[in-house]
Amino acid sequence: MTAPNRGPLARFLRKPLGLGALIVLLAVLLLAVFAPLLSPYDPGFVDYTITHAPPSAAHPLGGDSAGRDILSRLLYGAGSTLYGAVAACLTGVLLGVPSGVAAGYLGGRTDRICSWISDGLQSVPGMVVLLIVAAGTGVNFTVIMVTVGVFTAPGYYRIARARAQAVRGEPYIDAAIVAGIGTPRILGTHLLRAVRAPVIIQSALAAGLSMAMQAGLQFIGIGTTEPSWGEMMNDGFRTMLSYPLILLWPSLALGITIAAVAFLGSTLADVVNAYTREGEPRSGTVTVPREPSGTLRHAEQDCALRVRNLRVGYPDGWVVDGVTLDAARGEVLGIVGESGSGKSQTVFSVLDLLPTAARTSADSIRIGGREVLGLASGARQALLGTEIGYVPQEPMTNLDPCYTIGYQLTEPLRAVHGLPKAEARQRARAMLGRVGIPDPDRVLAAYPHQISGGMAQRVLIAGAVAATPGLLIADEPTTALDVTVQAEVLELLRELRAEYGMTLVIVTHDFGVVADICDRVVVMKDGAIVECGDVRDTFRSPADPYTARLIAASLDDTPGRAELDAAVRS
Amino acid sequence: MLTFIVRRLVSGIVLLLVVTCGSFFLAHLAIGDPTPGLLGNSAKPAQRQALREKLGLDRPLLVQFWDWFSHAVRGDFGTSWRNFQPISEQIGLRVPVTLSVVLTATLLAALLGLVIGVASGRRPGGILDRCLKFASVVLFALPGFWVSLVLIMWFAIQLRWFPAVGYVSPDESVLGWLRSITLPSIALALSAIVMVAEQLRNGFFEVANQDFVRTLRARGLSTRRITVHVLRNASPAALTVLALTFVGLLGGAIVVELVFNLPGIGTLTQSASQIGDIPILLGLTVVTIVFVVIVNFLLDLVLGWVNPKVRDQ
Amino acid sequence: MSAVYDPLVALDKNARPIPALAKSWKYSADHRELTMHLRVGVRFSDGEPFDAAAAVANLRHLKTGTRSGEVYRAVESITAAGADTVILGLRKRDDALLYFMGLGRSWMAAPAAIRAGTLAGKPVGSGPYTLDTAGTTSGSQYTFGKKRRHWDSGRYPFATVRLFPITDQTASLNAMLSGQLDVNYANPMNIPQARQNGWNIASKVATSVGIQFADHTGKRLKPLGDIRVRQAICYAFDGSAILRAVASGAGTVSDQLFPVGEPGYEPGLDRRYAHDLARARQLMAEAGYPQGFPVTMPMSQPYQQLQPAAEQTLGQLGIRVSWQNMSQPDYQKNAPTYPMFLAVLALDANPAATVVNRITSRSWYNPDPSVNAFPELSRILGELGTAAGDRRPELIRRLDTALVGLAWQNVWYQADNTYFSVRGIKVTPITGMMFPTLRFIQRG
Repeated sequence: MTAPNRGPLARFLRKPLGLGALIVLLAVLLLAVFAPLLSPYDPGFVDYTITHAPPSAAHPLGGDSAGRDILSRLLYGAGSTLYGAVAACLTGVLLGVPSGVAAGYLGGRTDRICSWISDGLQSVPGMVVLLIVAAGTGVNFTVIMVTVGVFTAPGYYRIARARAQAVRGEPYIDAAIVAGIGTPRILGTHLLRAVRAPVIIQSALAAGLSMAMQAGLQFIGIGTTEPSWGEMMNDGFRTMLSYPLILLWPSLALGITIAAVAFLGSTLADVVNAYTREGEPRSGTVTVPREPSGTLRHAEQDCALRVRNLRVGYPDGWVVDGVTLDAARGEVLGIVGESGSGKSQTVFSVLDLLPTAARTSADSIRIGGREVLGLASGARQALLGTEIGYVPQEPMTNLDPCYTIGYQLTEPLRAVHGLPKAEARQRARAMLGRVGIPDPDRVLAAYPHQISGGMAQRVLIAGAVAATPGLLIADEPTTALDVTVQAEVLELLRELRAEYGMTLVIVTHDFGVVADICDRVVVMKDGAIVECGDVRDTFRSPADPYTARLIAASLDDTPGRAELDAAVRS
Repeated sequence: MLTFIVRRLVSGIVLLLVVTCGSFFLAHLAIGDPTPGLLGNSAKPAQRQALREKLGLDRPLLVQFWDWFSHAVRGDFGTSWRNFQPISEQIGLRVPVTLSVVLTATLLAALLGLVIGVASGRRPGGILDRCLKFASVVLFALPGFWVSLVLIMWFAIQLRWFPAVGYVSPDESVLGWLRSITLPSIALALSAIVMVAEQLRNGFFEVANQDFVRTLRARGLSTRRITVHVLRNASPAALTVLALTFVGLLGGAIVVELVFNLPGIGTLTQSASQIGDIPILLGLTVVTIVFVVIVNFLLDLVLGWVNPKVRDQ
Repeated sequence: MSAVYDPLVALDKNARPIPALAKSWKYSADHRELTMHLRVGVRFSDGEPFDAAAAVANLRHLKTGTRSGEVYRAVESITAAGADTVILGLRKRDDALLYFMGLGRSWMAAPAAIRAGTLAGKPVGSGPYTLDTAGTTSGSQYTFGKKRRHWDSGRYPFATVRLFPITDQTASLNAMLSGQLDVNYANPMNIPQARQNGWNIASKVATSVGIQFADHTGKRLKPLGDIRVRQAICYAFDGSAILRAVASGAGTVSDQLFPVGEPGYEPGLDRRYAHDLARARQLMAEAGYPQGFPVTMPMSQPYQQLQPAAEQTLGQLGIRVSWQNMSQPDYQKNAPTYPMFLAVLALDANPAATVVNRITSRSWYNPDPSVNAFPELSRILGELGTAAGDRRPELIRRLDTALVGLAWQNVWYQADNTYFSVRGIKVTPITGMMFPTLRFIQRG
């Protein structure tokens, strides 16, 4: 674990784009604040001799169509542009954030009502309402920008609500409730702190939008009587064919300011996202290559899976570093380790399902006795669903929510194995029956959200086994399930292995699972194998203290990983 | 499914009612007594009273609202305060212009946004992706009418491919109609294309990284088949973006119509706002919201069809 | 209008009334009766013949119209005498009547269409062109096709005329640049562009630009009742500088209400209030306002261009303006309630029309003519009412001199209307017409 010891601010300042944007924005702010001191002329002062004048020493940007100094008007205009953006953002924050936090935290009716209002607001073209307001109030700038702000509120509302919903489940909120702290105070302190960062990022977006909106309004003749960039652009538009410079200056000023705000926002978002990602537990990374670890147990011709010196790397280091292991036909191999030990990365590289950013290297990977390392990705792909089956960890997220179970089971049978429709359906139905689903027809017609987690895992197992692969890889197949269902699923896997003579590779953090089903076990830590051997031997006399700790942990009544995961992720 | 449709329909109508009532009261409270503006400051109180009676402004606001509302539901928005022309007629003449441009722009944004978004979502960090990111900031920063001007300069004045101003009705000439709406539609669509593409990119990327996609690959499905799964899962987000785009473009059409001198509801809104003609503005609001509600309703139907979860909620 | 309709009276290029559907006319000796002889054999596009009865119906209709009614204010009776003669009985002598009729207040429409009230949507006239509904998109484009037969066919050389209502001048220039338009009403700022493109440029003074004094007697704003204050304001404004700045120099600096180069205009008077700030301040001090005074003026979008100049120049005299923003239609309604306001007002090539339009009759920009408070003015105007034709130019000259001397209005300059037309088409602008009628757009 490499915990970052720099705060987001420091990280932000190291990004040139973000820093540049910040400097530009600060410069605009300073120019706006000190406009009265910096402006060479009064922005309303008319000097007929400089009408449409090109830039000169006395008037660096020339004069506009009424004979006023463009530079001075630009400087004064910065103020109204920024003021308008701040007014709009402030309105958006004041309306959107508290309601979003309340909706996300309280849920129920508050949530429904607030969300409905927010959705409704989003579907109203703001420009039309703005024109109504402008028609009624004449040209009161603040009122108009506050109205613009109302239309930025849904953006704030949504992020505040999402954050509040996430934070709602955090232990410290529970602790606060137990400690008897009232809801208003929880909302006020903990939740507002949690939404701070995304709200700032959203503000960059909203500020840019409101500046553009403001300029658009002034362009069509609604807004201030003070100097403003939008009004200057309107002047420029009228004269653009003869004096294009008059249009150029305010457009440039507005464009640069909005671009600065946009870059500021996107850089902030990058930094904050990277920051929160690094806060999560993730695979440990090692930069120095190590000696290969692990041993081969079986003769090459007996192996369903045989991996030599496998390494998996990401741009910031190796996560699997020289792993060697094998599994004989019909054997049940357990790969055990804590999260970040590289066990999942190992099996994904066998499956060739690693993210694109990953690099793999190995001396050899043999599946079903065949060397797959040099194969083209298409040929490698062809092994999936035929030679190798895969059972994932989270049953609910591993089914496509948009299709029925039946479609998802029959699609590979038809597309990969070329079965006709009716036969594929027959097969899927039979498999569902085989994995212990009492009412296969109902499940076939159901969508994933309509069935339970245990049933979904059975569906996934059925899907993996339907192709009768020689090698079945199960990644934490029971972790997300209730304890009683866990035992049933393991029992099912055991039966299926016996029935089809498959080799089973089970990835788990739980020695209980290993003890229950595995013949042999490989223990991984920090991307390397620390121990491997027969399950019974390993249990009796673990060679590595790490193994001993893992065994002890699985015997204790510690919270399951699912709960820990859930707590960490939110 | 039927209850789903009914529920969405009711929700749309409620929205329509709320916004309509809201803008009626907003407008009347904001403008107060319009008679000094309509008659001039020098008008005698009796004249003002006469006009107030003529316009029905002497009655309680709620009565006025009911009178207006009961006519509005039948499509009669009354007459303009300024030229006393029937409003429904004026709006009716202009709706096709705006819809031509906005729908074409939405279609452009949808198609091009889909292609660009999916292409760059498949290779995050690739050249296309970076171009998209850059283009989104640039177009975000460019004032809307700039694009219109550049298009006019280049395609209308330099190349003379398209007319610089004006609208030709399709009744008169379909080709002329297409030519007259091409530049405005592109001007309107350009920033929307980038916005849709970016949202789709993110949506596509998010879905492509979901667990079930890996499982589908582990089942041996081809990339093409997996893309179908990903697209279907990403489509609710995409459609929502599209609906929001439509709403945004309806607003953005005002500036484009002005620059291209199109006789659409945008230019009518602008002129009505400048002269404070509240009945026209209210009529325009209702018509605009009706479009939005229709689009949202169609969207909901498609969403419910695409995503079974939405139906059941 | 000029495509579909024929007028009774038209104007020549010097803005003198010439025959159109009225072949000839004659005033009675006391100028109280106007007899018009009509052209025969003309038919409206719906087949109805144009005759005395149709002319009477039209004139009666025009008299009831809000804007055209002004023109026929002095007309008491309209009667037909036979099939092709119309007699207009006048309440008093009106020397501007024929000019106004020629300016576009005597279009003759088919009586059936007038009765049906459908003219706005479906014009039916006897003019050289008819509206081609297939080429027309309401609000955006109107196409007119030339009739095969028309009594004055030779005057209209174009087979089709397309009209594009474009309010924004940048948009209309774009349309011209892209080849959509052949003729447009232009912003003089773009004259260099027009030269570059080899277009014909036609300009003529059309409006007076400046501050309108609505309160000559000081009823609402006491200082304005003092001639020295009005004169001070006239001295303070640098008309030529504003003309150059705001109107790209397209116009002529003048103090007068009579258009430059037209009857009534006196070149010598234009130097009366040459820019002289010291003199202006001195006059203010003499009038008892060395520190100036506060004033409220209305403001609306079309006048925003003039606002900085007005605010700054008045400020130099200590006259502190607070502006009241309003929409454009409200401006015309509310301006008369202010003692003074910015105004851009159409000029008339006919001196009698100028007298009516700008001095004697009540209008939004002239809410209180108040000439009777100024004996000199009322004397001259009285004489004008009865004077014989040959004495009129002299009287107009005296009136003009008196008005300028009284600083009746603060005119900064007279602005041009400018028209661009592509090579091969020539436009002849007429002072008084916003857009010249088709007879003034010719090949050449």
